[in-house]
Amino acid sequence: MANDLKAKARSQFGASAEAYATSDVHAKGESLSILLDLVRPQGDWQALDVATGAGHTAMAFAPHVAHVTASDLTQEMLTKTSELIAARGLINVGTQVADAEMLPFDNASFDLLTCRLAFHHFPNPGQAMREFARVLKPGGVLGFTDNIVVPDKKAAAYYNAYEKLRDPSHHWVYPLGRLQAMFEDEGFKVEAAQQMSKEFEFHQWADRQHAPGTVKEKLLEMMRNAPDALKPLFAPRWTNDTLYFSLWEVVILAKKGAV
Amino acid sequence: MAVSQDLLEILRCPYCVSGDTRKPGDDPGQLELVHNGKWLVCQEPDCGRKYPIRDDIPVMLIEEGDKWANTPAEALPEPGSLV
Repeated sequence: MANDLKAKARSQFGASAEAYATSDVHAKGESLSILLDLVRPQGDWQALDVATGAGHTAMAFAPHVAHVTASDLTQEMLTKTSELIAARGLINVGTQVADAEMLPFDNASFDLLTCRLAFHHFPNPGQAMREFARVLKPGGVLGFTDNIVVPDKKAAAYYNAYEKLRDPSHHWVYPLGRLQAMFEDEGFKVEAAQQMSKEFEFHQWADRQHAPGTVKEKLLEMMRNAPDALKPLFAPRWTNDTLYFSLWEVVILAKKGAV
Repeated sequence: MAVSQDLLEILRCPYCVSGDTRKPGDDPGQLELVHNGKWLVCQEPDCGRKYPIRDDIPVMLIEEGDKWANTPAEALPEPGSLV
């Protein structure tokens, strides 16, 4: 199951590398500037960006820290990332292929670990969180963003089915409270959590993962029939045959306790 | 050189350093750079996993290390490209 999901992630993101390289949500999303503000990176920090994708977060932090290691499960994606890093003339960013749930680093190697819009792909999120804690130095900073869902369990299951239909490598989006509990289970202290709603145009969102027409029809049907508990989250707006809807995202700043 | 000395200082075999498979000791899973800096070999006595460096990018996946665990370091091929 876990390896199956990881294979799907490689396949999905290998095929979508170009789309993610140019995606506004990933390159310029509001959460990226909030993350930078909250983290307040320092010039002598060693940073690790887990599941870097096209490297947008790694490249945003690079000018503010000593070095960023940008890791991702998908080799094709990292090739694109390396091109983008070279094109920007960034000399303090290295890339490597790594699994977020089995990080290839010594304990306490990094001052900062960032993980942006990726946690919902991890089949064993608890294991990934343990790895985040392991490779961070005591007092190290975890800068995290991901989508979140309403606490209602049935609504959350419906939401996750919706996301998984569009992207088979999707695993699970959690409510904020559950995420915070996962952080605390691994000895992190959550210092800030900032929630936001982000709007998407339906076709642009579906096309980024190459959803075929039949899948799009099903997604539209699911949006029309979404349970009431999801209405404040999706907030669907139909304009001239185009659907606009929202997803919720949270930016979390956490610190690893001193041992 | 593909892998900097700074990175080598913190890079470890993911099998031997993480999770339930972590080996005992303070600093398990250290790696040695071989084959003109194109492969990383785990130094744990009972591991033998080897990780290729493709297009200057270390491929630090356990499944990749498994593929080469029984290949002697001197018999490793050119790592090839990522894509």
